[in-house]
Amino acid sequence: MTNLIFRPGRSKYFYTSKFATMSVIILLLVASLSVALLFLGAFLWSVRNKQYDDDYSPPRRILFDDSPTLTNNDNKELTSK
Amino acid sequence: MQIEKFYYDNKTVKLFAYAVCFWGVVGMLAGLWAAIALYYPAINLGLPATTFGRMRPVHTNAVIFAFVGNGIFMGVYYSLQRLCKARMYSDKLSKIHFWGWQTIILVGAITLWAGKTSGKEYAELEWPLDIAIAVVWVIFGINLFGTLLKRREKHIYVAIWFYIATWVTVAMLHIVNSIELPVTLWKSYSWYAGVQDALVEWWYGHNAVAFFLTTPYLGLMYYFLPKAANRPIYSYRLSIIHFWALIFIYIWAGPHHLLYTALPDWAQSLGVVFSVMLIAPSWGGMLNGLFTLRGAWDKVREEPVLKFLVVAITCYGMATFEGPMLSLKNVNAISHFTDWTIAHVHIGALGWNGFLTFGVLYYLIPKMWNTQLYSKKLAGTHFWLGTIGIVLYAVPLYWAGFTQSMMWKSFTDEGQLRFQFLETVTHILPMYITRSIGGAIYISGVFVMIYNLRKTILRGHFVADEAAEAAPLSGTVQPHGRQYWHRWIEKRPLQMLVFSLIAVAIGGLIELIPTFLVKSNIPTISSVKPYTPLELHGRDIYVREGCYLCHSQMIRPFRDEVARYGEYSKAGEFVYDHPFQWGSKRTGPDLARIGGKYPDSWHFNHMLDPSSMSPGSIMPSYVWLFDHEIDTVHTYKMIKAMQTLGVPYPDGYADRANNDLVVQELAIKASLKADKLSTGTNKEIVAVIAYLQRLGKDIKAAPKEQTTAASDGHAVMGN
Repeated sequence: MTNLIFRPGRSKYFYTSKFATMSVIILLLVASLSVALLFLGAFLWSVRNKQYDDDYSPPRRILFDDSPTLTNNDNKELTSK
Repeated sequence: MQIEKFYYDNKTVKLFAYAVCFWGVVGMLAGLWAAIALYYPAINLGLPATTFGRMRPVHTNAVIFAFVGNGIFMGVYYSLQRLCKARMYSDKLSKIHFWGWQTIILVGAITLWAGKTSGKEYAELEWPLDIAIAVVWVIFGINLFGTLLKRREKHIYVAIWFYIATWVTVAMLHIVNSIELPVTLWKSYSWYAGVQDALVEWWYGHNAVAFFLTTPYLGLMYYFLPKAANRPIYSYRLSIIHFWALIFIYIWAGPHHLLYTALPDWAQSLGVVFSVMLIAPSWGGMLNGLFTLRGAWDKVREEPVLKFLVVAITCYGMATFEGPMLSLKNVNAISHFTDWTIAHVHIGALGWNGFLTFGVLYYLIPKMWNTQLYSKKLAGTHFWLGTIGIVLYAVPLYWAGFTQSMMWKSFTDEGQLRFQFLETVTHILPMYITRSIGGAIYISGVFVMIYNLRKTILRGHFVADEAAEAAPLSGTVQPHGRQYWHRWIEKRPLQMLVFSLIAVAIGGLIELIPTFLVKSNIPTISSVKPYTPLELHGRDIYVREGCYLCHSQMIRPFRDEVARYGEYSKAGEFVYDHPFQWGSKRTGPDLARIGGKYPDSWHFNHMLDPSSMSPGSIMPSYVWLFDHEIDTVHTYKMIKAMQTLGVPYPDGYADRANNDLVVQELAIKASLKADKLSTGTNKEIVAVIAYLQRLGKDIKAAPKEQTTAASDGHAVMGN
C-alpha cells in the first residue's frame, strides 16, 4: 500500500515503508498466481475430458479394510460385529 | 506378492478422543458462561478474566481449535491408517503432535484469560503460540504425508484429499494472517493495518470455517458415514467434484464478512458472487451424504452413530444454504452485527461439528475397545438433548437478531430514530436467556455421552495395536485401460499437496494483490494522524479487554447508522490501526465516532459502573482499569514497532513519546477534576479515555473533497 504522507521539515512527499515491506509478498503472490492459472486450465481440461475413470471400486474398498486376517488366533484384534 | 503384517496405532486416536471430550466440556462451559454474561454481567465476579470480552475468545478458541481440532486429529489418525493400509508414519511424531497441541491449548486458554491477545477474531493467540501452532502443524503434516508415502493402497480415497487440502490451506492461512511484529513476549501488532488487516483477517476467518471446520469434517463424513452405514458413498464421482469445486470456490468468499464496510466495492461483490456459488458444491456434498442412506433409513432409527451423522449433515446443508443467503448484500444489511450471525454459526458448530464429532466418538470407542456401546438408549437421550438444545439455542437468536436489526432501522414519522440503542438491547434479553438454556441442555447431552462412553470403555478391552495385513505397493502396476493424468497425481501425494495449494491460492491471491497494489483503494485523508502514545496504550487495553467483541468501529452507509453514529467510515481512517478493530457484532453501540461525543467524566463513570450512565446496560464494570497502571517503559518499544510498520512518527519520537504522554494525561486529569473526579498517575482508565475520545475525530478536520473522494462511490442508503 502506498500512503502519501507529508512530513514538515522534508521538502517532498514520500512513500511510507509499507510499500517496501509488502512488495516481496506481492512478487511471490504474482508468481504463484501464474502457476495457479496453469493448474486451473489443466483441471478444466480434465473435467471436460471425463478424466475420472474408476469411481466404482474405491468407495467399496474402504468398507472391507476392517477385517484383517481372522485365520490366526494370535491376532490381537477381534471384529466387533 | 508377499502379504505384509502390521498394526494400526489406536493409542494416539484414544488420546485425541479423550482430549475431544475434555476440551469440549471446557469450551462449551466457557460458551455458556459468556452467554449468561450477556444478561447477567455480574457473573464475572468483578474479575477481568471472566468478563465476556475474555471468555468469548476462550470459548471460540477452545471449541474450534481444541474440541474440533482434536476431533479432526482423532478422525484423521483413525481413518488415514485404514485408508492407507499403513500405521502412522512415526509414533514419536504422533506423540509430539498430541502433547504439543494440548500444550498450545492450555497455554492459549491461560493467556487469553490473562488478556494476552492479538485482537483478531479466531486468531487471538499471541505470537509465541502462533509459532508453536505452525511447528505442531508441520509435525502433523510430516506424519500425514509420511503415512501417505508408505501406504499400501494405491488409490487415495476422497477423504484423504480433504485432509490434504485442510493441512495445506490452514498452514497458508495461519502464516499469512499471523504476520505480526512482536513488541514484548506476549504482545504483538499485526503487520497489516486497517482495511488490509480486515481483508486478511476475514480471508483467514472465513477460510478457517472452510478449512478447519468444514473440509476435514467432510473427509470424516466420507469415511465414517459409509463405514457406519456399511454401504458405499452414493456417488464417488460427485465426491471428487465436491472436493475440487469446494476448495476452489471457498477461498474467494471471505469479503462477505465486510459488506458495506470500507472495503472496496469490487472486492465485496466478488465475495458475494462466490459465496452464492458455494451452494452448489456444499449441497452436492450434503446430498451425497444423505443419499448414501437411501434404502437404509431403517438403520438410522436403530443406530445412534447414524442418527448423529444424519443431523450433522442436515445442519451442514442448512448452514451452507443460509451462509450464501446471508452474504447477499440486502440480507447482510439486516443480519450483520446482530445475533443472526451467532445463530448461523451455531447451526454449523453445534449441529455439523458437534454432532459429527459425537457420531464418530460413538463409532470409534466401541470399535477400539472391542465391545458394544454401553447403552443405545442413553445415546438416544443424548441425541434428543442435543437436538432440542440446538433448536432452543438458535431460534431465539434468529428472533433476537432480526428484531434488533428492525429496531435499529426504525424511524418515527418525524424522521427521528425510534429507539435508543439500549432499548434494542433490553428488548432481546429474554431471547438471550432462552439461548443460554438451549446451550445448557446441549452441554447436559455431552455429559450423558461421556458417562455412556466411560461405561463402554469399562466393559471393553482396549486394542492399542490393531493387527492388519495387506500387500505392499508394487512398483509397476499394469493399469486397466487408459492411464489418466489425475491418476498420476493421486499416486504422488507431494505433487497433490502442491496442486491443492495452487488451487486454493488462486482465489486468495486475486483478491489480495490488487488491494495491496491499488493505491486508490485506500484514499488518503491528510487529517488522519497516528495515535498519540497515551492513546496507543489505551488502544492496547481496548484490545486486551476484547471490547471489539461487543462494539464495532465501522459505520455502514445506511440512513439509520449515519443518524445514530455519524458520518459513515472511510478506508483512509484506519491506516494506522494495527490491528483493525472493526468488530463483527454490536452487542453495544458502534464506537467509530465516539470521540468527543461525551465528556471525559462520562467515560470515567461509565467504565466504573456502566449502569450509572446507561441504566439497564449489560456491560460489566471495568473497576481494575482504575487500579492498574500503564507500563510507560514499553512506550518506547510500542512507538518503535509502529514506526517499523510504517506509521509516520517523526524520527527519534520514541525517546520523547513519554513526555507527550504525560502532557495528555494531565489534560485529561484536569478535565476530570473539573467534574470533581480524580485518579492516580498512569492509571489505565486515563489511557482508555484518551483512546475513546480520539475515535473518529480526525476526519472532522479533513477538507471536504478528501472525505468525498474517500467514499468509494457509496451513497448513503435508506433501509
